[in-house]
Amino acid sequence: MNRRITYCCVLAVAAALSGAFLVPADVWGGVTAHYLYNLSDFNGTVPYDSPRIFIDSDRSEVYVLHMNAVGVFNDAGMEIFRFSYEPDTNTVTDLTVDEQGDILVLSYQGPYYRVVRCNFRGELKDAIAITDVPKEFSSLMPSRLVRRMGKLYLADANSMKIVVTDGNGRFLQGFDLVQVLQLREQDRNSTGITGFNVDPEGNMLFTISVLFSAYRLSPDGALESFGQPGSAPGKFNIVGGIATDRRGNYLVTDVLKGVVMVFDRDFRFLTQFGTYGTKPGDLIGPKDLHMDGQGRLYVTQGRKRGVSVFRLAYD
Amino acid sequence: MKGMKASVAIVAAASLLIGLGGVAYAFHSGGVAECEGCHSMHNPMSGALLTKSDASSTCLNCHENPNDTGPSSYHVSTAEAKLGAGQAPLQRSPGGDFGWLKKSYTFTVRGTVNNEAGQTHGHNIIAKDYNYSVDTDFSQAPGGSFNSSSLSCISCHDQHSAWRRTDMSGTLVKPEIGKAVPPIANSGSYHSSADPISGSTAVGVFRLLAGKGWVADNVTFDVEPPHVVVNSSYNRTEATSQVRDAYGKGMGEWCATCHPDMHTNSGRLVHPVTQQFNDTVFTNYNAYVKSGDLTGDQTKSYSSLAPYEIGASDYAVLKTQASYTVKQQPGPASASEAVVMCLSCHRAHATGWPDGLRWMYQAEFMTYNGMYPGTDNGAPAQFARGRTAAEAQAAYYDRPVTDFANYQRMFCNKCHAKD
Repeated sequence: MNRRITYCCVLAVAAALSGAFLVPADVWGGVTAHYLYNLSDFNGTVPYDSPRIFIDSDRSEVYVLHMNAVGVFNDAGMEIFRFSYEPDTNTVTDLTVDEQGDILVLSYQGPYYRVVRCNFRGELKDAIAITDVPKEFSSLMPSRLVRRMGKLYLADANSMKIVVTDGNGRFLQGFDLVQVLQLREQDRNSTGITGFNVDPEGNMLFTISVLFSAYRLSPDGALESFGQPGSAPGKFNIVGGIATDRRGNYLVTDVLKGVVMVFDRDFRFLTQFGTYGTKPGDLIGPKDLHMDGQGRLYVTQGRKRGVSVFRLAYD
Repeated sequence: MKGMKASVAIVAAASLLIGLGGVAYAFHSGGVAECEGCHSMHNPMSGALLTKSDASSTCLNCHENPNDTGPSSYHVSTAEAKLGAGQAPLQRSPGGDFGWLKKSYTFTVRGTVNNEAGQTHGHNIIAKDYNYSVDTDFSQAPGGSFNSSSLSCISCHDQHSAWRRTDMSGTLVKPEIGKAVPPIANSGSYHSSADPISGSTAVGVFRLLAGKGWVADNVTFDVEPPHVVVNSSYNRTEATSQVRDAYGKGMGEWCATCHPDMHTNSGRLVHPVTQQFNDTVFTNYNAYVKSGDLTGDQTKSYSSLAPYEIGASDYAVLKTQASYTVKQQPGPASASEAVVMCLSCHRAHATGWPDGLRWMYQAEFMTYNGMYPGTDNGAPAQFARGRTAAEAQAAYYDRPVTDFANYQRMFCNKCHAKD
């Protein structure tokens, strides 16, 4: 009897101790989010502050752009390489990777942008000239570059314009979101796009924080939106980045609440996870997020808390 | 669930057919508009039902955007991810970009290492989530007793904007128990802002600045907000034009709320504040073009690098002045319409130079050999001061170096013409 009691006590202690080292999963609405780790180097969490990230799922690498330098992380979230650009020649704003593994960089020299192709070491290979751009999009100053299905998507968050080109930079389509959303012209610069992404079907996803809304714009120009203001779960305080998971759900950050909200393809709220705080798995100012091909979600944060990685699981 | 799906479908269909339409007002277009932008009724994270750790972080959720590639409307801070070595803050608002507080420079002059801390560049608001921290040089406001540990956006700005303007002559009122005042219909900050309608609606005061009765730490404002109007495209490069903040009156007295010993009214021997140009300064200002060049005239003498108040609160005049967008703009037509103020030399938020000054003042030359001095163009360290030439130009809001002399001395000379 005493041995059994002792054994149970040991098990109970062991269980308690294991709980102290595990971050509990958040489970609602059939979607489970487990905090895994932060992107790190040998000094620990890399103290990025709201960086830009890109996931190269084919090669299981993560690119993080911060202060004109690019960190490359492996499948375990450890930095394996880093390169930087001289700010007097290039101010790098965004990056992505093409099918060949070359890095496409959106950079600025003064007020002029260009898209250049670099090798895996960040060395310049060639430039992609953006051509045949109609006059109404000629003043584009994109802050976001996405490559999807062989096309390039250049989004100017401030002027609310999107240009789509083929892989060689030739203009295909342009969208003036002020006209699409029927906003007043004088509100253009004070509205702006907050988060931007392109889903696997080529739908452009974006959020507008001052309108408390998220949008899905199809390639043929059909627009749908969701979201309403509020602090309750599923409502938007300050909506941030937007991404899709492998089920086609929409994941949206709320910068004010410090959460990630999950909506299904019909924009029904499923769940949210995260909380404002400084513990592992907490989120402070989550501005952007991306999914990789293995069900992991990467969320950028402020206060130099770097990039947190979660695993999503589904019932 | 079925009902929800149907209602979502209806919304979606309607949006496709009709278009979403709508007007995008920022959270405070003249006054408070969207409570949910800052407050959480049932899940707050800090006092006053805020959902962020401090007030300034709440503000910067919207007033800083990592997507920015250049000057952008109401943004007042550049994201830290874009402030690497050699990268200058992006915003060009008249108040300045708080990002300069994060730009520290180290350089050696005559064998002595100089460390110019970014915190010397302006007002050190405390915004933990955006890595803005307390000033470690000044525990209190220079010339005052306001505690630096309390400095935030809402030390100066009333996020709910109690004060409002009710007419074109500058009458300011605010709600009080037992009193009725017109509601705020829109912002009153811009040259294009709709005017108040007498007896019906008011407009917000400039930049939702706090006024009499506002308590900030151990200081209570005892003056009304200053009278200012700015061009609606106020946050832009000045490479080919100038942005005109039309300062009317009240700015010096307002700043003296926290910096009383810096004001002429303190009785201390300080640079004049809220003092009309004397005849010499008036003449100098209109004549001064650049070092050694006094061939200017009043029709094009205005410099946004050295603005002044007109000493009046006539909003028709202020809106006209603020509407100017060209490079050459008229200066004061008489000494009586030119009043020196704190912002004649400083910016309200931050600048690229120590003490929040609009120009570099700690060495002989602002320009050197016809260039903005930089660590990357061979300029002497005492003039480059650890910056690249591009950073120096950004600190002057992208003005061509030819706006200045080849060896331009301090811009104090715009009024004093000693060079």
